[in-house]
Amino acid sequence: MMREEDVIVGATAVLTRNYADLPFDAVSNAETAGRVISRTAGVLHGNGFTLHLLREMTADNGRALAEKGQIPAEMAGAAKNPAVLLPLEGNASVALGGSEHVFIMARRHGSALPEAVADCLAVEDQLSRRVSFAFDGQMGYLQASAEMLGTGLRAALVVHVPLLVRANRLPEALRALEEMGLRGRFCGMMGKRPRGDLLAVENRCAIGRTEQEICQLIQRGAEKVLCMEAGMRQQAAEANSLRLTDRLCRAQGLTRSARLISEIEFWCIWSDLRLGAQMELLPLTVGQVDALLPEMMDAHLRNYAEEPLAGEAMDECRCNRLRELLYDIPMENGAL
Amino acid sequence: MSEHENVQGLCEDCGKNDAVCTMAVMMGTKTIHRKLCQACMAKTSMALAAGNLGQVLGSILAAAQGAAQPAAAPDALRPQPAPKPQAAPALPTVEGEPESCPGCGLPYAQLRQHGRAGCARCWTAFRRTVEKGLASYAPAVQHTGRRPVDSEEARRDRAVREMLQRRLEEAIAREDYESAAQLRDAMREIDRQEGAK
Repeated sequence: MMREEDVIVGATAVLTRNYADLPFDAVSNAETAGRVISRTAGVLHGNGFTLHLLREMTADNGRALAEKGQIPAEMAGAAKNPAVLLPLEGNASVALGGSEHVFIMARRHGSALPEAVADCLAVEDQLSRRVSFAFDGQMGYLQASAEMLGTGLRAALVVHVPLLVRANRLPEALRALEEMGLRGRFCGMMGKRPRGDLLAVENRCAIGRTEQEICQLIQRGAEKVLCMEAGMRQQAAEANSLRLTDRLCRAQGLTRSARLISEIEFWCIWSDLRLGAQMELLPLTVGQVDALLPEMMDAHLRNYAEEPLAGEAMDECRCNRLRELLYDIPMENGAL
Repeated sequence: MSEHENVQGLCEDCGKNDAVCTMAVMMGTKTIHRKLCQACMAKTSMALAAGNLGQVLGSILAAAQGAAQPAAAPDALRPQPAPKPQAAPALPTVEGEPESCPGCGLPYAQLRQHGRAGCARCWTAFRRTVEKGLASYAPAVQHTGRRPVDSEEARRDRAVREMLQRRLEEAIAREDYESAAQLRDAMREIDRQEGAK
């Protein structure tokens, strides 16, 4: 039996705000970014948050923040003077100096989208008591991007849909989402396949609905996609159960015996392990498989190894770290 | 001979990559169109440049006669290429809009092309454009979500803090760190009082 919370990998919410008297060029203008940092950190730093300037971090530490969803991915590379306010407790981080002035970002496990949005709104409350953000009665919170006008909320439920991908049913799922006023976005691409067979179901625009209505709509969209995936899983289990089990067991075999695993291969294995755990075909739990993210991502691996890994050294480290996390085998002991 | 446009589907030569352009060849009175990926288009161009017309025409004729391999039926256990994600919509053109934003000088054409504003005033200056653009996919072009905290007391507190913040930024800009420290302390005191409420 497919449980919704096992197929929904996580919930993400991003709330953007801008200062009315500053231009929307913080990503390319270090002075504007400095003002944004000064104003925002003036309220939050020391009040449950600590300020970190990305220029004072190693590049890998900056990328690791993006891998954890604490800053937008583009901010780790493109912004001139980015910074982040990390929470001492709680879920929401505040990224500054990107394409919008203030990104309040929260991530929750499973289908807890309203909670992730509430995390962001609580930080916004804390800020808006001290500073004013650009606001217009009709257009709502004013943003650099037209798509974010209104609530400034981009919320998403990330769903794992391996059989929809393999059966080429994603176009159908994307069309169904579009008809509901939603959008399906892949969480990166690996060649021609969505990374990890993950699909983010998110709102297409931020105006015309309340924050609560946006959450409800996304939940309905995710349910629709899950129904399609559930149908495919049942079909695959009935028609090809031996082939399916064989493929999933092979994926687990690789985690035990392989010596080199590339990033592309890792995502394929991860997706198979998750499917196997969820369908109870492998002796793993969904929690164990999910715990591999973001630990197995490049910046996390380089930080863990404390070496500037690349090429085969990175593939070897990925392999050993995978065994360490899944089977508690120390990295130096190698394959089973 | 080749047209770069919004081509969809797989390359008709290799059958693996996404097609990015269409090649049109006149054969007598008939025009044959072939959708090709970048690699196959380059291969065809190289073959033509090398004078190997036979190879190119051979594949075109094969396609025209329907000799191409039929696509395999989708297999639930074999990875299939994912569809491309949709591009962000550009904003439409509306007659009578100003040429540029009076606040930041952002040209109207740039706003339409990227759907991004240069400052908060852009959206007031080009309101009709953004209304028309959002109306194509938003349920309503009217904000219905939460609004800024708007009590008299909150407005007053924010106004005082923002005035101090502006003066602090000016002091830092002219490297008057003594004044900046005093202003920062004043702001902290306001925050402390606010926290105690």
